[in-house]
Amino acid sequence: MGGMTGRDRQRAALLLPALLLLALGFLAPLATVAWTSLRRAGHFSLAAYAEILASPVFLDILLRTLWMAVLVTALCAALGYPFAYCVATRARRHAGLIMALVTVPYLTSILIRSYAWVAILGGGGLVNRTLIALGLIEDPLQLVFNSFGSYVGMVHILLPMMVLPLYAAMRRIDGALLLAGRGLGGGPMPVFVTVFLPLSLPGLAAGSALVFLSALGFYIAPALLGAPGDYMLAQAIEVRVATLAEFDVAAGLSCILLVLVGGFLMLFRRRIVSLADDPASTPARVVGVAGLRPACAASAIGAVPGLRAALNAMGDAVAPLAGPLLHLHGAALLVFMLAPMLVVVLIACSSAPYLTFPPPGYSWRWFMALLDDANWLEAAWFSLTVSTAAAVAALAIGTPFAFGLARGRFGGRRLLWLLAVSPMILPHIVIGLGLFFTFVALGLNGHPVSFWLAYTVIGLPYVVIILLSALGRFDVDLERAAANLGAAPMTAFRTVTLPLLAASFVTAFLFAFLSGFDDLIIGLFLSSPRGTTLAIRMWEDIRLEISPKTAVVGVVQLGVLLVAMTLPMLRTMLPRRRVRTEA
Amino acid sequence: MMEGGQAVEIQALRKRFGAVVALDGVSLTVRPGEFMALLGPSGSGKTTILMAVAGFERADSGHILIGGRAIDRLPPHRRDIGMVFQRYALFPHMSVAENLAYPLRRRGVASSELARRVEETLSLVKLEGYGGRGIDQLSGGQQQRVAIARALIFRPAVLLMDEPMSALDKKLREHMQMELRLLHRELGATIILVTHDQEEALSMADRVALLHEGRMRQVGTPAELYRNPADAFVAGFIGRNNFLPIADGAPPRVQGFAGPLGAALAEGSAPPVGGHLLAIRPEHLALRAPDAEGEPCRIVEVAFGGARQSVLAEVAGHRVTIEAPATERLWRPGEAASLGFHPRTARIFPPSDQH
Repeated sequence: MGGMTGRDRQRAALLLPALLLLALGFLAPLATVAWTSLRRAGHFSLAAYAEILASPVFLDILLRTLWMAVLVTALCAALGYPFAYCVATRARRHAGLIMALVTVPYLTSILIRSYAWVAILGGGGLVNRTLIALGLIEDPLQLVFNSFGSYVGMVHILLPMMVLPLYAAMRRIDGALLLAGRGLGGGPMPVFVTVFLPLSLPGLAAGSALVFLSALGFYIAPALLGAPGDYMLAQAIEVRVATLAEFDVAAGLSCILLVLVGGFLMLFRRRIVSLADDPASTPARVVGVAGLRPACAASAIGAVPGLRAALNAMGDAVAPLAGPLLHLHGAALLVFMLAPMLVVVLIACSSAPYLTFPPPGYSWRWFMALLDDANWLEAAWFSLTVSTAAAVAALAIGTPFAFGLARGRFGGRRLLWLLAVSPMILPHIVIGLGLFFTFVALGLNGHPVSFWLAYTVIGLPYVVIILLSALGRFDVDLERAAANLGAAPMTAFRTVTLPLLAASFVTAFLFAFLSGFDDLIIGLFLSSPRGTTLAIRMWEDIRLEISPKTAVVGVVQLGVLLVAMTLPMLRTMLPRRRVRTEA
Repeated sequence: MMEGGQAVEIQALRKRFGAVVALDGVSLTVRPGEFMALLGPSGSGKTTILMAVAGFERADSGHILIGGRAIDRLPPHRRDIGMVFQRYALFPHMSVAENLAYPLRRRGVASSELARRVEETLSLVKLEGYGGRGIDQLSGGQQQRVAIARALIFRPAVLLMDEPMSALDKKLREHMQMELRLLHRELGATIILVTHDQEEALSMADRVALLHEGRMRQVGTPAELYRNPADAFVAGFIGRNNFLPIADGAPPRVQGFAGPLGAALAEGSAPPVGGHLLAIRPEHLALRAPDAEGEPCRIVEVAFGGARQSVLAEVAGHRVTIEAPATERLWRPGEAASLGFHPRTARIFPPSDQH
């Protein structure tokens, strides 16, 4: 890089801590997985792959994984698009609140949400009891521990990933364009098809790519809610490690999953980059470029006279119904999103000694039971300290990285961004396996340090994404003004940059913390008598006895997070700091 | 409150951004207490000069001196230069008073002195009692006053302003331009104002430096730039001008014109040469009745402007704009007329440096 100035070199140096972390805690473990998959009995060998490919169930599992990922993506798109459309165009006044509600499920672990679905869909659960009480059915329907249960759980978890980018893309659409379409003689339906739909497609593409990639590596929801034999790839890997101890085959399967996800990731790269505030491109340009091709296709549709007439007629017929239908769909989807949270709260306050819904009565007994359980408290304390330390580290490493990426002018920034966020996108089961191999080799497995390192790696993407987006919106002139007024660089950072980005730092910390605190998959690999996380305790509890203790943890977590989220809002209501100018 | 401004010397400044030459050896001397406008179209390098003076860009070569002292190696926070940013860059998390106090705090000013100076500076920009307000509670004009006050409160030797009026509507802009003139007279500060708005530059500055493509084209008082442009670019950029090609041969005349130039050329203008351009301002052309002396022309379009009328006319295949008083006669499209030059107003330029 001959054209790099001294300042650019300084900014590139800001990336080093994160790159070091990623090399040690992410790339090296992935390399170890690849290495392990190619070794048997101390020699180079393709035996693991031969075994995998020869196995009759492998193709089943692979196809099932792909099929489930496609179906879940399609379901999320079909449910999420009208929802995002309704919020972005018809409920703009309450949009902030609604989108906050959509993200609430994000704040509790996948584990707790899946657990709630067992309570809702199980034989003695909410749905079946309601249907029986209404006299619609006599025997409970099998709604969970089959593929239906898997789909419900996966869609519930992945829906926000679809709705958020869709909503963001839709909000960027200039309302005047729609009016212009109407003014040029388009009915509501043709205008939607020729103007709104093409402009919202980048959001749909980004959401679909994210949902699809995440679904490929899913573990918890299918394992808890699916049929026992219906493995997805991630479960197959876990079984090889935990039950069969076939490490090379597990590694081989992991490599296949990694290549699958990595391949699709490279394929969808632009779509995903477009949704984050990529430092190298403005949203407008991304929308412009990505929307161009579908826009051409859509205008071609509009040009066919018969089709246009049909669309017009359809629009006129549907128009009076569209509003109520959209609102009904939106409300139903919100209920679907939030129901598990509500159920968790009710179960936690149950007086019953086992999981049943609705609870026969209410008491604090499970809160007390949790406080009396030394194992749970110890695990909670362990999770809390390890995740906090990891979030602090992710923030300390991710902040300079985000600044370097946002302010530096050097090549390869897009690739560096992709590297830093890929621990969020690549399947955690593969990362977990790699960390397991690495830490075992180092004699560190189960040591708190191993958890700390792992959670720093998976927390980093959240810090980078949130801070980059905040820095993209930050007016650099404010820092220049501070310097111009006499503030040295660190003073300018402390007095201007830091206070203005405080909310983003808190959010970044919170998400980094949660990514570790809610982790189950990596913890399953790393856990040992030396260290067990709360998520692992809950996992064991759910699989063995299903007591409401897990729900109590969910309620506590939800409560703490809701308070944490509302505190900043309260702060803005306080009067602002003042200089006393009265001499 | 500023103890007299200091001189700013810019010496042979060069700056490249990749393949683009932003500054191609620009020199400029701003006298102590002078109000200098850096004027030019976008991409001319005027903002790069400002950024180099403030210390946010480092020039590839050349020097900047303030009060005779080179500041090339000083970081921005040690330069003691006030700056009003284009979008003001007021700290949104601080009150008006805190924004003003910020530079004083960085300089360790005692708190009693600090409060006094905040009050004093607020009254200087006529914002008494606004100290407790939040930035988002101010109008655009008020925000600009706060930005100016914050840039002045630490008594800098030089005040830089980066298109400070561009965010204001026309009426407010004219008002603030007058206020800034008054403030400048009151304080005697050295001010460097960057603008692409020539009206702003001509009406406010003592002298104007006109830049184009990284080069200094002319430095002078507004009247000098208007009346005595150094080249065709300046002639075309400042105010409006008609450019007409000179015909070969003697006596010198505009291509297609029947009569010679006669006494039209201004004092100090280059001699007319075939192929060169004659620049004549719209107000220096006269329209008369068709039977009067001059070049026969036809009126194409007329815009009425109160005291004046702006007339587009066709003469010998050229289109010219004429600024005529509207008190005598109103012209109508299609009318025939006779066109003449006011004596000693036209200038001659070689054609190459028009743009």
